[in-house]
Amino acid sequence: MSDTSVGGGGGGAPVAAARAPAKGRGTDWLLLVAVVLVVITFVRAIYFTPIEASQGAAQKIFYVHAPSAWVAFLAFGIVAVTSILYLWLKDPKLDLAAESSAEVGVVFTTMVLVSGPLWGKPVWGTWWTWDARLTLTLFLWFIYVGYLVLRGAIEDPGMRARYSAVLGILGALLIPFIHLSVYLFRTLHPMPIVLKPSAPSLPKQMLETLLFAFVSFTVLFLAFLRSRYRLAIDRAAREAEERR
Amino acid sequence: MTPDNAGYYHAAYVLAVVIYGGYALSLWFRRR
Repeated sequence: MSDTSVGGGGGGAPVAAARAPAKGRGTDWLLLVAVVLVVITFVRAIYFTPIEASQGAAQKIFYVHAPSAWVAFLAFGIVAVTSILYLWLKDPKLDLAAESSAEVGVVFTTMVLVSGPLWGKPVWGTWWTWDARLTLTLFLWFIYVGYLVLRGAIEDPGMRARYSAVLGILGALLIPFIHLSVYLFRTLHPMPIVLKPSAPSLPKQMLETLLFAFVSFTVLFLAFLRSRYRLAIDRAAREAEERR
Repeated sequence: MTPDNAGYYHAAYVLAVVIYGGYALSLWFRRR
């Protein structure tokens, strides 16, 4: 058995963690808090945030689209960091954290890719355009879907962890290009209005709703990540048992 | 004049519920 597999020679801690799957199986309080925060975000965005005059109500897609994009970048950033640490420390728990973060990141990126065209059609007059920001985001999604497919295709845990760590790190290199693409290339996509060197350029009510949305979607991400990580630990323990 | 395009954002919010709710359900089913 590979020394990098959960339950392998040096993997006492992961096994200990994996053999306590009952822990936390009750109510997921973090997920409940996240759901409440997201519901408050939606209510605030729909009923208590003014409609932007030139774009109309479709601009409210912003409060779902931008926080989902932020979380996607955060998720893939975590994949890169945990993958680097895995290649250095060879701790299987880091590989499982990367796997979990990648899956959750793909979910949030899917939301970005779905909500973007819904906003683009009424504002730009087209569902999709092959400009740098949109195309690179689609590539990011493909890379991490590929990452998950790769993991499913390799049986040996050590090899799976090494190969996917490399892909996870390389995929995250797209993130700065995506963020800077609106400065580097001609694009229909608007410039950043919050994550930029100068002060955010939004009216106060819109900015408050947006910042609240960033917080609530981040909490939702953490809840998903924790739950998915527990699932990964359980699966790794089962895999280790089957190999015995 | 402000355009009347609320349908697009309604669709986006419904899809957010479907995508994130669906993922939460998938996690719950897989952990059972």
